[in-house]
Amino acid sequence: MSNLLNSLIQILIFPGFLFIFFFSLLFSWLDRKLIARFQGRVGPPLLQPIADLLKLLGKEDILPDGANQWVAVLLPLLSFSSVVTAGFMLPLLSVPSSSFEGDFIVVVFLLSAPSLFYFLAGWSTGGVYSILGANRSLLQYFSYEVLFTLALSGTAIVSGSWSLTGITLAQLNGTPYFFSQFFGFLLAFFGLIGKLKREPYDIPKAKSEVIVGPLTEFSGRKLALWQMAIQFQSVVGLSLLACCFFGGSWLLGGVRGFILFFVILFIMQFALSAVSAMFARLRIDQLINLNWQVLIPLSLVHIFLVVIL
Amino acid sequence: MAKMTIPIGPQHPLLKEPLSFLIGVEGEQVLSSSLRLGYVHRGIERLAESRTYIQNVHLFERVCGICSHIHTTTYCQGVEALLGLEVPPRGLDIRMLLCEFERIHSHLLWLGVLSKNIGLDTIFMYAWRDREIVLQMMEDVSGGRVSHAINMIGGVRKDLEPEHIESMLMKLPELLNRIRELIQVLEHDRTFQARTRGIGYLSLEDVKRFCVVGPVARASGLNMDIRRDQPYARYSGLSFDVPIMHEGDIWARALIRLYETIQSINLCHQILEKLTSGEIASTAPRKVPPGEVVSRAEGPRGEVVYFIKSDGSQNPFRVKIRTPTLTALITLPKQLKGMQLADVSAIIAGVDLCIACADR
Amino acid sequence: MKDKNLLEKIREILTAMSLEESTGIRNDIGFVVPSEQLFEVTRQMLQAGLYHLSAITCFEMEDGLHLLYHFWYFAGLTLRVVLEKENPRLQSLTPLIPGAEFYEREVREMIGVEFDGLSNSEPLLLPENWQSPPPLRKTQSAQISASRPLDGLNEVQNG
Repeated sequence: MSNLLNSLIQILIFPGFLFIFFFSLLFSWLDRKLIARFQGRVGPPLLQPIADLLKLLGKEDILPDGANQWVAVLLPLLSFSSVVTAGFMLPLLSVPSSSFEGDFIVVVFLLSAPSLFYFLAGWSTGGVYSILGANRSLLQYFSYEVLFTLALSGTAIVSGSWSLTGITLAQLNGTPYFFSQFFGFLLAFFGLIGKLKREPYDIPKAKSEVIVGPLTEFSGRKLALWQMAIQFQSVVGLSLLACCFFGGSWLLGGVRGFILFFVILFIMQFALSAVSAMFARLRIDQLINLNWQVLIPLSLVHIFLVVIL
Repeated sequence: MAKMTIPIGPQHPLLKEPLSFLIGVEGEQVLSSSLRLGYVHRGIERLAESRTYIQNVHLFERVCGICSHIHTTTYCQGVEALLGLEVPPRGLDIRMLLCEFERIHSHLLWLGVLSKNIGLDTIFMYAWRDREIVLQMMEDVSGGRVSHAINMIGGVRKDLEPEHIESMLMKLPELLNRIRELIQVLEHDRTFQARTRGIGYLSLEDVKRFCVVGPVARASGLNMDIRRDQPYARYSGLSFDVPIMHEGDIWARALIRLYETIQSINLCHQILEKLTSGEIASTAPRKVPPGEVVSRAEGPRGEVVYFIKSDGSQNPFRVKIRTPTLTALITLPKQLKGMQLADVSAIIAGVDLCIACADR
Repeated sequence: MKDKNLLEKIREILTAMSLEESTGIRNDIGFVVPSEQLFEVTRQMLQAGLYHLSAITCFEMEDGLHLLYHFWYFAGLTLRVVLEKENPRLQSLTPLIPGAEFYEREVREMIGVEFDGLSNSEPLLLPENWQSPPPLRKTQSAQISASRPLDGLNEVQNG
């Protein structure tokens, strides 16, 4: 009984839905504020993301004629739920009840599912801009998922376990993998930028080229769900990096561990915003060249070194 | 991959004014493009025939929002030539000052638009923040930030206050430093160069054949600037360089515009320091004697040409305006051919379109 | 680099072609060119080194349609061509100067001159369904009244 209650609390509150919800709103605000400050502006107030969300929920929900109603509703729901599921499988303050050997793979897969649904969203709603954006997102998908997975696998290999709990616990006995696999961390960080489709890799939704890309025809509540899914993906992705490279919040445990976790996430978000503010958007062919000619080979070298050493 | 036709415009986040492009792509490569103007055509040339010369000054201010002052300057110059009227030196100085401010403001605006279109929002924010300095100076001169209405036939209608001159002389060095920082970024930032170098190339031959003017032509090596080659107002008494580059791509155009901005700041210094005292306008008769005149000036985008024909009455018989954006638009299909789709936004932004000017 | 003698050379070439020089345009050099000779005159000027066509102006006078070709080489040079009002035709300069295309299209839609050899004759600024006479014609301007500005527009709105 207490197990069931425990699980329910984990799913709904911490580190489940409510926790991710508030954290994603907070980090969405943080991102916008940081980018604004980099650009010499003031930036939005703290309640801006929730205000935007509430307003979007009240807007009219239109779809073009040729788009499939059910698919258009299903896709954001699936994205949203897969990200939240990935979220509450993360070992943030205690071993999650869903932990099992191999859940590392499951979490990485669940985090990459939204990108596939994003692509399908573009195809299902039709329209020139949606299809163009969807094509680009698929091209980008193959590049960044591979990079992200390879870079994170380094930590799994060294810890000798394919469960996130195992990876986290392995760092308690030694130093966090951030220090021993700094290079892997950098590669995973780039992979995350691509997954989240942030500048300079926001090619699928480049505003001056394809309006909003695959989500052009979405509005109202469906768009609100998509936005939540994207914001959640950001927080869960950062938390995954925190678990694999910093041991989550286990190093200090309890409240202090939680604060440490928050600080680590803050620093990573700061780096994400800085990169977004500093660089221009790359072209898709430049991105793919960069990825397959430079980053993937580097990550293979990294895995090789991790295995030998 | 399938062939698609992508419509850019009339409404598009990329465009500031309505313009219709139909771009035929295959995958990510542009095969062909076609252009349709006329969405902002207001028939200004025809309207000018039913208004007096003085009312037309008001009308031509509204041809364009960004380069409004240069239009009225060219028009007033033409009418003054027909009247044989001499404008007092101080009036000409104030006209030139505002022309140069307008050039700086237009180039900074353009830099922001280009950066936004290639995804570098930060430069957009910085360039427009620096533009605020220029807008404040323009407000000191004429009372309006964007629309000045300071020209009249025979001179200008508002004089410069001494305290404004002082504040301008203090703000200009600050502006110069900021422009130098922006030039640093453009010259060294690799992502900016990755998106602008080698893109939208026009050779010197192309530029001559298409009769292109302005920074687009100067970036390809054409050495043409009306301020130096056929001086108007009092430009013959000022010294400045005309930057020329030979790369002919968007990066060259961006750098040329920033170098020109530095030259303009230099010119503003000279004008403010050598400001003559005296009247600012001569009274102009209402009726213009019959005759024809072609008046030229160098706007932010290039050569602005006004042809004015008078038949001796209070209204002009014919006014013909040729704006520089029209010359750049002819080259766009050539620039777009063979480029990637992602470059389309950079190329369209790179020629500094002012569709209201082109359509009239 | 500025060739100081270019305009003088052009002046000599054009006078040698027995074209009359007119002093109509203030501050500019002006020549009157018969319509058949315009293409050849332009070709000779291009060969001599004058390449910049600034604009093509058109207006209607009692004696016909005046087309003014404004060239520029550190000073203005204008060629004037007078065409008759009925069925005005002229050879297009686009084979020599591709940049003239937009100007000729505008002249065509605004005053009705047909250009032979102009590859793209679509209207530049006016809408495709413009059915009234060309806007810059004075003799027919009475038909373009404020109450019926675009004849074709009603069909588009009802269709």
